[in-house]
Amino acid sequence: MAHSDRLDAAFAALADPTRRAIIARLTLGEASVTELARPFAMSQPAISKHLKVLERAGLVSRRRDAQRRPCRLNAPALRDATEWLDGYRQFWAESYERLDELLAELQSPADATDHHERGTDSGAENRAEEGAGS
Amino acid sequence: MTDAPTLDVVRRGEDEIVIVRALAAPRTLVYEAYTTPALLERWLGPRTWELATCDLDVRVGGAFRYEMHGPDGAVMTWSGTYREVDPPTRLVTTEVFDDDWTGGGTINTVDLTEHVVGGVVTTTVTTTVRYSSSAARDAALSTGMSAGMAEGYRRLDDLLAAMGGAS
Repeated sequence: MAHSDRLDAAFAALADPTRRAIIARLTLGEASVTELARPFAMSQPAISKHLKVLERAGLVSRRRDAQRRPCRLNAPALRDATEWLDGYRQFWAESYERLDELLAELQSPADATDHHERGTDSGAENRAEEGAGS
Repeated sequence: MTDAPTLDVVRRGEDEIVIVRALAAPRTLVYEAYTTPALLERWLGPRTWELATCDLDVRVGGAFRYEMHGPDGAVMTWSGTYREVDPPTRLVTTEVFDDDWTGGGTINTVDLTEHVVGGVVTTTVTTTVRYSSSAARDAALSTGMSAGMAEGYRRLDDLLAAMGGAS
């Protein structure tokens, strides 16, 4: 599967609250289907169905050898999804948050002298006046 | 403090993505923040990334180059040329990433619109990124620029952050 297809599958799988809860449970460690079904008002077959979706998305794997076939997280796939969330949109979201802080600082009256030291343009004086007037 | 203003990321037409964000400052200051390396170093990119190189020749035909260093030795480099320089309202650039993940260069337009509401000056930054093709645009969207998807997955942020230690 291409990287973007894998991410699509991962996010589609995680769009369901039950499946997110299963993932959350598995962050604590391996668990059998019985153990996973316990907190939910759902039958084991229903949980198994959710697990199949998570498995197909590569987020969860099951050991074939053991009899109870415990489920566990596939950490690299989850990390991929995390990196995706930290990706392009996050780049701008976080940049603008930093810009908010910088602009607030540049507009604070106490900072007015820094503008002169930087000596960028005549706008510094205007801003100092704006700051004092507000 | 109020919550951070909304970041809108939407598709437009065949090959464009539009990013809109309001900032609590006059546009002269926002323009300065977009064109002064010493200021860009302080805001461009996630907090875990460092703007290592920021060479800007802010005039029509002038070249620019950015290099960012991220966690685990990650490096992101892109460069281009200023097409329009119209302080303090508009910047148009052509740019391309060194690893060309956008599938050809893009044309980026930054428009700054100033508003005064109740004596408070705000500037809306509208960034329009035009990709080389519809496919290139959609590929960029699939890396996380889709507002609708990001909205739907917002709740996942916390969950996945909590899983950061899972390995």
